[in-house]
Amino acid sequence: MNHLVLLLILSIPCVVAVESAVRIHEPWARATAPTAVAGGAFAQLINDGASDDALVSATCEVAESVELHTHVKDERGVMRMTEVERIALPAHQTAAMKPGGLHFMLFGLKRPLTPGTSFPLTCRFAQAGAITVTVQVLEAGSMGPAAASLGK
Amino acid sequence: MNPRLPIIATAVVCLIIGLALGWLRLRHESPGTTPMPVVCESRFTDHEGVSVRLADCRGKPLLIYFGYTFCPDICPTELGYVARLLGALGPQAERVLPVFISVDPERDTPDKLAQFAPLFHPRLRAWSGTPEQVRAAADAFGVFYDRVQPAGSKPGFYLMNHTTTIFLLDAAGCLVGKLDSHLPLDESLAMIRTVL
Repeated sequence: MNHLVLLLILSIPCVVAVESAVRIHEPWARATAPTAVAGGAFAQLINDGASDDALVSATCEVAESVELHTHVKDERGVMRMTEVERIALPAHQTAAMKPGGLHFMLFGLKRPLTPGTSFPLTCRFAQAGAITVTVQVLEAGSMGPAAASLGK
Repeated sequence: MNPRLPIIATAVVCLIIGLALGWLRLRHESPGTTPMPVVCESRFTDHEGVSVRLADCRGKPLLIYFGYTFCPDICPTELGYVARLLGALGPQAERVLPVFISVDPERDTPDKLAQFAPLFHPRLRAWSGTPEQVRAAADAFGVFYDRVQPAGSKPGFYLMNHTTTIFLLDAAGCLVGKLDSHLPLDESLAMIRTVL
């Protein structure tokens, strides 16, 4: 009986640890042309927890590789895309991955992304570990689920 | 003969040349004065295999955007914005010709463009040409682009850095405005309506 109580007590921190403070809100991707080799996906990364975290990598079955990218516009108005090592997710903050900025770059698409379909994407966080979400494919020129619901 | 005549004559000639140059420069730099048509002799092939030049499009206002189909984010963003502008114009959109010019002609063959253009708008035209023709067209619009190979990427893989402006040309082929997706839709629509 004592052992059982001890086991229960010991298991509490494990349960707490499994309950992740990080959420991935409204993950979506843009539709691609039938022969496209690259695609882009976006999401809101929300950290409800009290400790800092960071998105460090991602994988998905529809692409050979997934990189974390951002865009920087220089003084001439030229857009430069660059890979980032991680996306910082400080405590109680949200990192917006959206068009024109941070995004998941899907390389080596194994099939085209068609509007109305979805695919799983696994994100790995430094603290929260792996979280798999279902990414909705929207129209190629979409600005995301929020914009779509506003009729934009 | 007055010995000072050659000096006076030279001074008068210099003054005339100076005034003429000044006037030309002023005309060139002031956006308020008569705009000049964009001069671009490049010949392109559109996504339906038709040969086309910029001058062939006179008679309709144009929305021109330079990009590449491989672009997963910025080009869809700007072309999506063009599509929303056309949607907001309603029936008047028929008068506007939206054109996408590829700065990556090596990969953006007419076949590729044919798959790409309809994703955004049924009336979007997508043009590709030889690297020289594309470069000449980009120069005519002051568009910058270059090829970059990210560190550690596979041989042959590359991305393009490029200007992301949407150019508004009136029916005479004159550049009358520069748009991009950061502008509120109404602001861009107002600019387009001035040339309809």
